Amino acid sequence: MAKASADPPRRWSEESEAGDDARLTELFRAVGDPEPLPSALLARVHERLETKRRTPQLSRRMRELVMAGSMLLLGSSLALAGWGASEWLIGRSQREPQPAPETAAEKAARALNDRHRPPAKQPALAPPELAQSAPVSSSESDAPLLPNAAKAKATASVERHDLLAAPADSSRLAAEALALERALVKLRREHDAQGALAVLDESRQLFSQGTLALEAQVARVDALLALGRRAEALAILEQLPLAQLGRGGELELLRAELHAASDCGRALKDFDLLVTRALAAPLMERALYGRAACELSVGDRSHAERDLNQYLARFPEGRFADRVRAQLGKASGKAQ
Amino acid sequence: MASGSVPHSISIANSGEDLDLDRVYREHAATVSRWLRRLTGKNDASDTLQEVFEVVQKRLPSFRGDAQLGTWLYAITLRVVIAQRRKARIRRLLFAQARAQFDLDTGPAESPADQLMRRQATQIVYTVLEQLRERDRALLILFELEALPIAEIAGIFRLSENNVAVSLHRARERFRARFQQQFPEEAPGLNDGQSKR
Repeated sequence: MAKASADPPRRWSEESEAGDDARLTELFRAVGDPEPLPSALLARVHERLETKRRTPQLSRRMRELVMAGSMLLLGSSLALAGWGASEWLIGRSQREPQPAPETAAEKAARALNDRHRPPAKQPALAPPELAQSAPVSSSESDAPLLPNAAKAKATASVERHDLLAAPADSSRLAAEALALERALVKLRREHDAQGALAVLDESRQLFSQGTLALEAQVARVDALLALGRRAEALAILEQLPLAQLGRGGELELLRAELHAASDCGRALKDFDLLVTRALAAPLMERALYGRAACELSVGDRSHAERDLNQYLARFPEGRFADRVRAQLGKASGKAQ
Repeated sequence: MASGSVPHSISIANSGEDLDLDRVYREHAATVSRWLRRLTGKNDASDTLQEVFEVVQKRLPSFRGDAQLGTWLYAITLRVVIAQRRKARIRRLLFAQARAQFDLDTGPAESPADQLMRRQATQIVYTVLEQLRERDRALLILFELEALPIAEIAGIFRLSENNVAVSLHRARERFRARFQQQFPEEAPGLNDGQSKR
């Protein structure tokens, strides 16, 4: 690289249009000045600030103190467990033949080690589906959360580091991200939803107000679904600001499908919104089928037939195409 | 394009005055929200604005007027934006979220053709900026888009003016290289960064 000069450069936007960087000059001139936020929005932010300011300081302080206390307690128990484990190993190597009675610290160390040992492989779970009709699937089948490269990287980094053995100088956010990566690797790669939940629980204790708390909750939903614990997954989805979390409507679809098991009226509201959006094809397929199934279950046959026909027209080879054809055959039989 | 220096946009006296959050918000929220749009390349800035003023509220009692209030506010704004961008990058990594789209609302008097050209330019410039390191990105936004004087940028980054000038040269070279790589059709005659300058 050429040695950079200490003289300030000329701004691209101020250079001549025939200069070396003519296109950059043109672009930087064209970017334009942004307007401030509209005054109504500014007033709303001011209101939010005021509300937050009125929150009693004491309770916030207390929360912080309690959190610091629990972190300290957790840290010291882990240190104790680590110390116990090393003492035990040293003692064992010195007097190999006699098994010593297990101390509490040893028990704790063993529990910790067990927790981080990959569990025996679970039998593959059938893709979760709603009891009656609309399908619920975790994101694994339709849209993997981690891209392959990121997945490989995450696995590699998780193999090298442990959640609690993150480098001492790494930031809290990095440690939190590492914990989340570990949970996602367990869930997606090792197909160990129970293990993923255990890591998420542990991470929640360490980072209860963490920066990635929302993401951790989404990972928890996926793990719960993989275990078939749908009511718990739905309860979490109800609390999350789904629109903020991306995943192109998938989470809203999941919520609708979970509602469909018990409350089709509620599910239909979500399905109605979803089918008007520009969803990815696999999501649209599920949304159309889910809506038709719910319409059938509330007795709205005309709309259900319309949706089933629309489904077949768009996804003739789709996942539910056979069931849709059967359903339409049944309907036409009844009509005759 | 250029919008002038921080002291021009914020004219409040610094020391010896009774600064409270309400007053700072009333007088500077609009300016800070414009900076936020500039720094993020996006229109939706209300949540970040709240975050900035929460930091201001926390730090206001310790503001002694060593720096211009504007420079102080800009430094806070920049730090909040950088922290948020780091968080967003981790989210993108974990959840494979789509790349952000950039757009900035400007004055309503723009013709549709101007608007289209501005949108395209904003998209291209911010897409390239997105690939630079946070410090390069912030330096270029402050210098090239906000048109802040070097002295002001030095105050925000707490660096010497010489240091800022050298960093800017390097940031510009990296921008040029990324631009050529990312938009080769847009940069056919662009020099290779080892310019006469």
